Amino acid sequence: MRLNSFAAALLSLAVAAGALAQPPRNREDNPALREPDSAADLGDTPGMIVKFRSGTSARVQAQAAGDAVSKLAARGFAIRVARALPAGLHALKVERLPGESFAEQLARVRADSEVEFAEPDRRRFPHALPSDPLYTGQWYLQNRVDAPSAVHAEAAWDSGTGDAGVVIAIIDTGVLFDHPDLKRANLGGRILPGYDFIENAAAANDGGGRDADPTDAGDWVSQAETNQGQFKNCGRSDSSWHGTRVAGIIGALTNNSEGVAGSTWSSWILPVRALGKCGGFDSDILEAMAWAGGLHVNGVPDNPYPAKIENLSLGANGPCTAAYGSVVGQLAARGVLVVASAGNEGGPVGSPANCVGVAGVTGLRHAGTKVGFASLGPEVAIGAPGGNCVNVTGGPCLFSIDTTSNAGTTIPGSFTYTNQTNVNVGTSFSAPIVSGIVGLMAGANGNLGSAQLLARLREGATTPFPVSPDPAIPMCHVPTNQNDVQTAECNCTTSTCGAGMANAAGALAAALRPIAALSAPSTVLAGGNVNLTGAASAGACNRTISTYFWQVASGAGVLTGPNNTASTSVNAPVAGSFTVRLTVTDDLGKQDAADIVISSTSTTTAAPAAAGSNGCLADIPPPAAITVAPAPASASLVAGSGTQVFTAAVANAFSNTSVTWHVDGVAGGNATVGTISVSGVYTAPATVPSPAAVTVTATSVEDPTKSGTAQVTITAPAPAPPPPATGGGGGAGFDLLLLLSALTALSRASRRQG
Amino acid sequence: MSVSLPRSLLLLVACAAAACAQPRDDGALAEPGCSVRVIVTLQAAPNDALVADLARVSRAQLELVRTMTSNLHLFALTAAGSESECTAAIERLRRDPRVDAVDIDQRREIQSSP
Repeated sequence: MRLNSFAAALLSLAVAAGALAQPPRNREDNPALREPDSAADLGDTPGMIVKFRSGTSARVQAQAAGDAVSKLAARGFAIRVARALPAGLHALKVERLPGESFAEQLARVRADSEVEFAEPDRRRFPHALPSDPLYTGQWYLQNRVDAPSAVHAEAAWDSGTGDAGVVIAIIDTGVLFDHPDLKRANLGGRILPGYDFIENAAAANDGGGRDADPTDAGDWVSQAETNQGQFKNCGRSDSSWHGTRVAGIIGALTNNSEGVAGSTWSSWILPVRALGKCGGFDSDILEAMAWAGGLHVNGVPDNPYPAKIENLSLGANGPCTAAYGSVVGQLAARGVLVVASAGNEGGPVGSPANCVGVAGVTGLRHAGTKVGFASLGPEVAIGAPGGNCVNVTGGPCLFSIDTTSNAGTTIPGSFTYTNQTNVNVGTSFSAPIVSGIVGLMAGANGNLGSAQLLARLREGATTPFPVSPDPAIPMCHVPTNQNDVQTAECNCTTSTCGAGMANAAGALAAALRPIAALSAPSTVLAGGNVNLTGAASAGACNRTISTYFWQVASGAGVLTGPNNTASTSVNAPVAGSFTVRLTVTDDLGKQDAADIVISSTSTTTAAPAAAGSNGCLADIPPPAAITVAPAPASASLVAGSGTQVFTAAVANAFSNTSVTWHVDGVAGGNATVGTISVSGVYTAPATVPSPAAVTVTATSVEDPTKSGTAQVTITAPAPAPPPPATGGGGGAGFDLLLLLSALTALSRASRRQG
Repeated sequence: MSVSLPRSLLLLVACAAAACAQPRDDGALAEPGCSVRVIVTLQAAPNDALVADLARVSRAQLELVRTMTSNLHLFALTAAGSESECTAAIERLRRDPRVDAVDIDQRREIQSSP
């Protein structure tokens, strides 16, 4: 990091102010926050840091603190302690007046004519670390002296860990939902349902074309496939699990004592599958982008979770096509920012990263220089870690980008993480680091549109780029053509690697600034009155605009209205033009400015007419939990005979509506309680069980914690009915009695006759 | 939209045509031909008459595969002859005033290494 100490101090103050301003909701949502309540902190802090106005500061610096302190003391301030700090700053402790609060005392000091600014000398706390055990390997999120390109996420997390109102789409190979560090959103995880946009079944490799299941089926290409057919010349490769890797960088489950941490801890991830075997076609990618951002795509149900950010860790050589330009433009109009990787050829920025309005991200080495493989050029918005190994003769890859992955070389195997031996590098992984940062920004200020997010992302970057101490390392240059490649380390410039090194804390501080909105009639009369209003300006989440300041920034204009209200007026010039600037300040002193050029005929401004009213985004609830309802709900069968077919209605499943069956807790049942087949056919036991009622349970395969039950009552067989009567006698038994009776009578008669 | 076709685009058409994996259902051509899928930006929604007329203008078979967004439409373009015939047909399409742009449906790849 090449910030000078004064800038560093200002940045620190800005970040601290951001942390101080977090609303209670964010505090509750931030398990990493370790600072005490801000009021208690201020109340115990009698000290302040003061800078005197430039007219006196040089002398003050030259003569130490004595003169300045004396002057303050002469004006009634009882100075107890004074100490000179670097950069013309002074640490002071001032006696309070009777009944005076610290805030009132601070205001009194600030009001002094020679004081440029005065801030509380606040207590600082070590940045929170997530509990994820593999976080120690995630150098790229940290603030490390040996890795200047690391993005200072810890400092950002103290201010905000993201927001459940933000959806980040990953246009990629799909995702492995069941990775224990990702998981489905309705199972306590981060991954929303998404969609599979791969039209070609062979490329999709999941048995079909487009469908609602964006699970990554694997994108391996066998040697045989490279010799013929549609994957000819694609190159043999194992499954990449690329989307799962990207997903982990953006939003692995964090502070869960497992695996790695995500850049953002709360935002949702929307997996949109557009890449399969041998990549993917523009036609699928573009529709995936459109759908993810909330645009309608024919033949596909509209996306219930429109994304604010889309991550595209993909590309190819060549200029931005009109089709990408069109879709990116439509998405930008909806406030969606596309973040794309610059490419791994070391040449000109690939497409779609080179499209106007896209945040193209190149890859940086840990040291902040360009990593050899990363493509570069003026289209790059910002640089971020891309992974580099340092060791070129074997050994561990010291600065790999650790994230979630899988061990399967074809179909999914065991869930794993990348590390120094299971290496993960590429601009593919620079982009999601930035997407995560933008997710933090959008959560802090939901009014920021696509262009504003991009501008403030760049504003928050760490500059200047470090220069390698090795004099043999050249400066990067803008590629002149596709063959002009720089595949070795080079020193970044703003025309090759973007505005600077991505800095999560800086970007978040920039996002927390208010948005100045400015409107005026588009056409004016020469010399006529022109009303200007900034009333539709807005603060970040839970912040309000406290002051407005109008001034003529250039040209010969004169305000005809007040300069400190939400609206004012000017007289249009008779000829030429002048510029009026509106500066808005929020309740924490953060500012934004907007200019409007007023000519004799028209007004022109790049500022929005209205900043928006969604500074705090509403939380997006996770999808409804799966429910399972067997039918019929009850049945009665006779022991030893009879079957009942059960079906199970599974609602809210992402893709798998199948169930497993149990009888009284026994999978498939048994001879005692009856059996049930995989298709739900229940067969009663031979004898009545005890108790006679058994429970049939259908359990969701997709979410085994969700099940539904039905009852089956088993009854004994009916007793054998009595013999049926026949004719006048009533059957064989009766006939036998008649016969015996007749025989007896005959016997008696014969004895009487004999 | 009228642009000259650089050599790289000619190569791209050839590569795209070779790599194009989408099945064709228009039967075999009477002579060796080229086939490529293109994303066409149109000013108006395409109907049968427009597609037929664009095919006539481009001097190629043109089949609407699907409408992608309000102004982007995916077509299968097939032409008799060599790869350059597809390139020429695309160029003719681009010159049509009803067409804002024509892009070849290219393959994109993940950007991780190895």
